[in-house]
Parts: sequence; structure tokens; C-alpha cells
Amino acid sequence: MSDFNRREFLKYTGLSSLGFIVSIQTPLAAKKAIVGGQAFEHHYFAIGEKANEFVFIMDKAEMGQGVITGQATIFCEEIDLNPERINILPAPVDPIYGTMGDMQLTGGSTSTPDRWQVLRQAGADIRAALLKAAAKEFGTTSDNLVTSDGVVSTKDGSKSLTYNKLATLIKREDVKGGKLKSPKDFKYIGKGVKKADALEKTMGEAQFGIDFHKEGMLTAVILRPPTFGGKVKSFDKSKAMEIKGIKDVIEVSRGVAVIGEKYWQVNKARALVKVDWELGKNKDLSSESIQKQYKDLLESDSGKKAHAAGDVEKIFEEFKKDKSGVLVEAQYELPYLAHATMEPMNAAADVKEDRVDIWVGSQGPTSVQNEAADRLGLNRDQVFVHNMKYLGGGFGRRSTVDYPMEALELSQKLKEPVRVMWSREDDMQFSPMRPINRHHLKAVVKEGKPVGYEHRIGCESLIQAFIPGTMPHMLPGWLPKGIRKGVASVAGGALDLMNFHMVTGEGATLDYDVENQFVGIQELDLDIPIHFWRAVGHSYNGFVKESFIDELAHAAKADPYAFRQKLLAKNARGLTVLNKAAKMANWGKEMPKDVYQGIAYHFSFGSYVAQVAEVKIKDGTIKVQKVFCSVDCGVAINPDIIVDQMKSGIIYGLSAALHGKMDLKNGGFVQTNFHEYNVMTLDGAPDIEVEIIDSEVSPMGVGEPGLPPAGAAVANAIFAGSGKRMRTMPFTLS
Amino acid sequence: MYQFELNGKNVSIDVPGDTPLLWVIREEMQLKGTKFGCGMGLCGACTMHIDGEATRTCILPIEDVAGTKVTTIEGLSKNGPTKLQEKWIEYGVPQCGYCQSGQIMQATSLLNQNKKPTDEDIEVAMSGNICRCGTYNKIKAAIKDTAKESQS
Repeated sequence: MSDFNRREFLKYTGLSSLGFIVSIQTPLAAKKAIVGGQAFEHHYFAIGEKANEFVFIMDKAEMGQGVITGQATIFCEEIDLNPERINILPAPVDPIYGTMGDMQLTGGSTSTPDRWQVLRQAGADIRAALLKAAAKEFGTTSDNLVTSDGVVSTKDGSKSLTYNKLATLIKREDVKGGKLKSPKDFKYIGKGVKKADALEKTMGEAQFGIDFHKEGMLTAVILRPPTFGGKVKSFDKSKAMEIKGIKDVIEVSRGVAVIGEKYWQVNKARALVKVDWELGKNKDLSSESIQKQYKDLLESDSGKKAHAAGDVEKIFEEFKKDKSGVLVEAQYELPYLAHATMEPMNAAADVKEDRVDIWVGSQGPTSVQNEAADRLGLNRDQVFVHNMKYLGGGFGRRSTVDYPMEALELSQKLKEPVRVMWSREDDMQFSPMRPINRHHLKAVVKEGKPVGYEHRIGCESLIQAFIPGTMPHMLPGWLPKGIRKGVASVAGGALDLMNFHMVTGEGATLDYDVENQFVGIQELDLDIPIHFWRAVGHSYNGFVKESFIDELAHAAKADPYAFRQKLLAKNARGLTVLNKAAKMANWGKEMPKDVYQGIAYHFSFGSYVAQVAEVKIKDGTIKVQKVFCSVDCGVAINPDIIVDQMKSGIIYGLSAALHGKMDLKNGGFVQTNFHEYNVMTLDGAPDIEVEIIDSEVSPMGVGEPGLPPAGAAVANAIFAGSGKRMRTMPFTLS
Repeated sequence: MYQFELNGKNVSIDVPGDTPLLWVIREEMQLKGTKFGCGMGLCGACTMHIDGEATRTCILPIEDVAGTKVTTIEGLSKNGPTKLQEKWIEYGVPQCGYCQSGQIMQATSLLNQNKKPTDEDIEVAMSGNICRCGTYNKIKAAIKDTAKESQS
């Protein structure tokens, strides 16, 4: 480490001296020179020489899912140090932290399962080195020593040294061969480690992207065309320029930018800019016309195979002949949905000739770095992405590069640092959405069980929308841009040939015991920006599947819980969560007047979740009073955060089920702000009870799996009470 | 030039009268604890106290603030966390944290006016503060627990 790096590192971490620093390699990251990021080497963990100086540098974006607390807990368990004592800082953007190839990414509920082994082993290896250093000091061997919360002592307690005192004595070459703890000895995993960010966030001190400030930085808002694909014909800026503080109004690739000193100035001026728009080819596109296209497609053909088992066609043919059993058929149609994170999109950039700085809250900062380098013809190591410590909500939205690229373009044009701010209206109307989707389901039920089950999905390809923007950034920077883009398009096609519909179709395949199944996909290719939305394919397939299974239970005249029990007989973990949720809710108990129960089960992102909802239906209104939720996510790293994430997924899912809808009309979205795109608030939120199944299986994600069953559990309760099947969202009884 | 009291100190600011208080605080005063969420008074992220009353400041013009006492999350207490904030930390209420300043300002104002809020009182008072992470159960519990402890 050079002196310059040392200085930077100390400044960043606040350590008084370097002490001991160790880096932890992720399994996918290649060992290579640092590309970009802050000017110091990547370091995961540092022990300073002063008491209580512990720094843990985290590559994962904290957006409310509790990832920093969870990752620190896994690591600290093995090094034997209370995770509440360490200072957690965001990592620079660096391939060393790669989650997908060289991509630094937080998403897909992957952080915990990906890092479980790596972080434990790293902690154990560092502990081994600490023991060895202490043994030398005490003139003994490691086996005569014990550790406890940052202190190494001899077994008889006569001598002890803190980790901080040992910091300069640890040898890097001794960081190896640590033995992992047995789960029964866990002190922090599975216990009540406090959230690392609770204090800052309660005191109003947490720093988000929107809070970034740089002296002299300009602020911009962008007026975007009323149709997707629309263009600026001409604009009149004269009135806007009369507002104090406005610097200029210029055309940019996504519309017309109003640039000034302060947000309140540019926000006022934007209303005074007159733009004449060329509406483009999508001007007649609407949600209705898209649903109609899917309806025709789904009714004409079963689509590209995403999953097949047995022979559903044969089952349907047999039914035609002998009419034995019951045939059930239904269509579900779901709208566009906005992520609507609480913090609207924003980013800042400072483009200089040979160096670019970008300040952004991002789930995928590597894409930001590489896309900026490509656009400006710079090397990746000339682009410095400063990812914010906290993201004001992610839910998938913050893994695209659209908003930082706007800041980049503006700073390049103006040759000054610029931040771009999205108003709530901008955020709601121009963010990539969860796409419209439609479903055609068909099944034959015989002797209380589905014998053939077909699910046709109409939805744009989410992976195809993601790959072209991402794949080029997973490939080395020395490959020419054109080749990288080419490889990405081939890769997209290859995924298609490989029948790789795991994203659009995920969660549609039954993990129930049904012999004959077919899942097919029909895709439209539209110009409306779409993206991953919390729980992605599971978010809609989970709802549709669990609603339709309820329809089948009804057709079989079976109790919906007993019907699922039978189908999960061979799925031990699934059956356990189902039984647990039913037990928590006392399924089938006598309910108060107008209150009804509904049940749902779904497996996603490695975790098993079952829920029972209690819903009051009165005078045409739906009120979700209570949700019981059981989850098996393997080892419970932090039970409190798991409970929070289940609740969070349920509330997010029910927001969509009861309120959420973005309507496309004349090529643009109609809803503009929270009065038109309603979300669940405290008065409408159910009381939620969560229980976690004890497990020693490797931990899996919890950020998303709570969501998919929520809408279905409520819809099934509504059916139980009203006889009305909820096949569209938001739910309505009229 | 508009004068008001901000977290116990007299301040004055020279901006157009229709400038929302939120942006005066965030951009002119550089106090960033209060957040921007919707710009229409619909989400509660911008909640501050004006003369002790929880108020949406993204739609509050500075000319209406002159002569009042403004309290932001930074000025809620001079000596560390308030009782409610202590509960907030103990319960680990925040997830992404972005809406939390507004939630806390709203809840503080409720408890100042109603020492013994019922569930329904809490629901009514907090119904205008959106949290997309869905921390509602914990918000309710932290408010109830704070009220309960201040009784004993």
C-alpha cells in the first residue's frame, strides 16, 4: 500500500493507524488489479490499534433489508466479536466484490446465501491468526487460549490481550485454517443483534443519495416526453429563464433539462418551459391494447416451454373423451406496477477530461461505472462511483443505470458538477415498471388432486430486458465495446435457446406433487421500460398459482389447506411451513362475523413461506385484519430482521393487491403521485405474526419470499367470504 | 427576507415567498434529516413541527412560516434521543430509513397532544405517513410502548 493509499484509507475509515487489515475474497471474484473505486486496495476488515477500532467494509447496498447487520453478524460470529461494536462502511466499486462475474450487485435475495460460507471462513481464519499472535506473546500455543468478544485470554484467565492490542502483531500469512464453530456455540447468529443502522436512521443522520452535497454543484430536472419513444420537436425556455437561479434549459437525450442552483428553483421553472413533442409510434399504446394482445396470444397457443413434466395434452384429451373429473379454466390479468421507493431517483456526476466522479445510491454500481466509461470512451478505472451508504428503498428499481447516466450527460454538456433530481411524478411515470402480465390456466382435478396443470404466461421477457444493459459490463473492459455488446446480444439469444425463462416464468412451476405440468410463455416486445420488481417473476406467478390452486380446491370440494397438504406430502419443508401457518391461525376456527380466512404457500429464492390471512368483508369493502406467516429460510441469522422482511414483503405485496395500478394510456402512464397510485398505510396495514422454522440448513434470502403468497392468501379469504374470485389487481368487490 | 426560529435559533432567509420550507431547510440551511418524498403533502416524509404541530413542509411556503418556531428531526432534542427515539432504536423500527424522520416527527406530535393514544388514535394520526418498507407494526408498537412507559 502506498503512502497515498494509506492516507486515503485512514481518512475513509477514521482509524488512528493502519493496524491490521485483511481482505476477504468472494468466490466468484477473480484476483486482479483494482479497477476504479477509491484509491486504496479493497479491504473487508481492519482492526485499529486503539480500543474498539474495528472497521468492516461492505460491498452490499443497504436498502432496508438489513444486509449490513446480517453480513457483519456472520463474520463476527467466527472472529468472536460483538457485531454491534464494529463500524460498517460502504465499499468502493471494485470487481473484487463481484457477485455476478465482476458485477457488484445487491439483489435477488442473494447476499446471505452467497456470503454465508465465505464470511464465516474469513472470520475463523482471522481468529486463528489472532490466537497465533497472542500465543507468541504469552509464550504458549493456540490451544491454550480462548476468545470472547474481542479479547484473547489464556484458559486460566491469567493473561489477556484485546484484538486491538494484537492488531500490529498479527501476521497476514497466519490468516488461514480457522475452524468453524458448531451452530450450538453461536453467540450472535440467531440472537438479537441490533440493527447497525437503527441509530443513524432514527436520529435523521443517515446519508442517502439525495443528501449528497458538493459546493457549486448544479441541480437539474428533466421534462420527459408524454409518450415512451417521444421526442422533442422544439421548446421555448424564455419564461423559465426569468426565474432566479436558472442557468439554462437544454435538450438532452431523454427530453429537456432545466438546470439551476437549487431544486426549488428548477422545479418552479420546469412548469414554465413549453415543449412541443413528437409523440412517436407508441402514441396509441395502452394497457387495454396490451392485455388484448396477450389474451389473443394465450388463447391461440401455449407458448414457449418454460417447464414441462409428464403429458398435460394427454390429460386434456382424455378429459374431452370421458369427462371424468373437473376441468377448471381461468384467466388472470395484472397491471403495470411502479416500485415507488420512498427516495425518488437522483444522482450526481462530475465529468472532467480524464476523470469522472458519480455519486449515486445503486444496487448495481459496477454497471454505473462501466456504462459511464463506455459512453465517454474512458477506461473503467477513470470512473469513480461513490455508492451512497444508504438507499432510500430499492426493490429492484435501483439496479438500472438510467438516472446516473442523466447526471453524467448533463455534467458532460455543462462541464460542471450536476445532480439530477426526479420529482415524485418523474419517478412514478418514467421509472421502469413491473410489466403487465396475463395468465391462462387450465387443470383437470380428479379424486381431490390436480392430474394435469397448464399455466400460460403472457409477459415481456424480464431477462431479455436486463441482459443487454448488464452483460456488456460483466465482460472485461479491454474487450472493445462493440464486441461486448455483441456477446451480450448473443448471450441473450443463447439464454432464449436454452429455454432460460427462469425470470419471467419463475414460481409458476409447481413444487406440489402434480405429475403432468406445462408452463409456457408468450412474450410481446414493447418499448415501455420494464424492470425487476420485488420478488420479480414470483411476485405475479406466486399470486396466480396460489389463487388457481384455491380454485382447484374449490372445484374438488376440498378444504384449501387440506388440499395443499396432500400436494405437499413429498415436500417436507414446504409441508412444515404450511402446517405451521395453519396452526398459528388456528385454521378453520369459528371466525367473527364477516371475517374469513385464506391460505397460500410459495417457495422462492430458496425460502419456504406459508401465510393465512384474515379478511373482513363488509359493505363492499375489504380490510385485511391479520396475517399469520411462517418461514423456513435455513439458519436464521437475525430473527428480528427476518420477521421485518416477511412483514415488509407482505405489506409491499398487499399494497399492489389492494391499491396498486399504473395505467398506460396513449403511450404514457396516467398515475402521477401517491394520490393516484395508492399504497398501504398504517391504518390499512394488518397486524402480522411471523414464526421462523428452526433449521441448520444454509441460510437463504428473506428480502423477497414474504411477498408472493400475500396477495393470494387475501384473495382466497375474499373468495371464502364473498364467492368472488380476485383475478385482477387491485382487488375489488364490485 | 423571512425570519423564524429554527431548532431554537433565530434565522432569516432571503428567498421568494413561495419557496417551500422543506427546500429552505434542505438547500439553504443544509439540514438534511428531513426528506423529500412527494412534493404534494401526500407521504409525510417532509414532516416538521411548526409551533409544535406536525406539518407537511413540501407544500408550506416560507412566507407562511415567518414568525413561527420550526423544529426538525435534528432539533427534536438537545441531549441525544428522545424517549420515543429510544424506543424506536430498541424496537429497530427503521428499514431503509428514508421515511423515518417524518414518522418520528408525526408520532412525537401525536404523543405531545395525546398522552394515551388508543390504537385508533395512532391509526388516524399516522395514516398520512407512507413507509414503502412496511415498518407499520413496529411504528405502532414503539408509539404504544412509549405512551405506556410515560404513564408509569
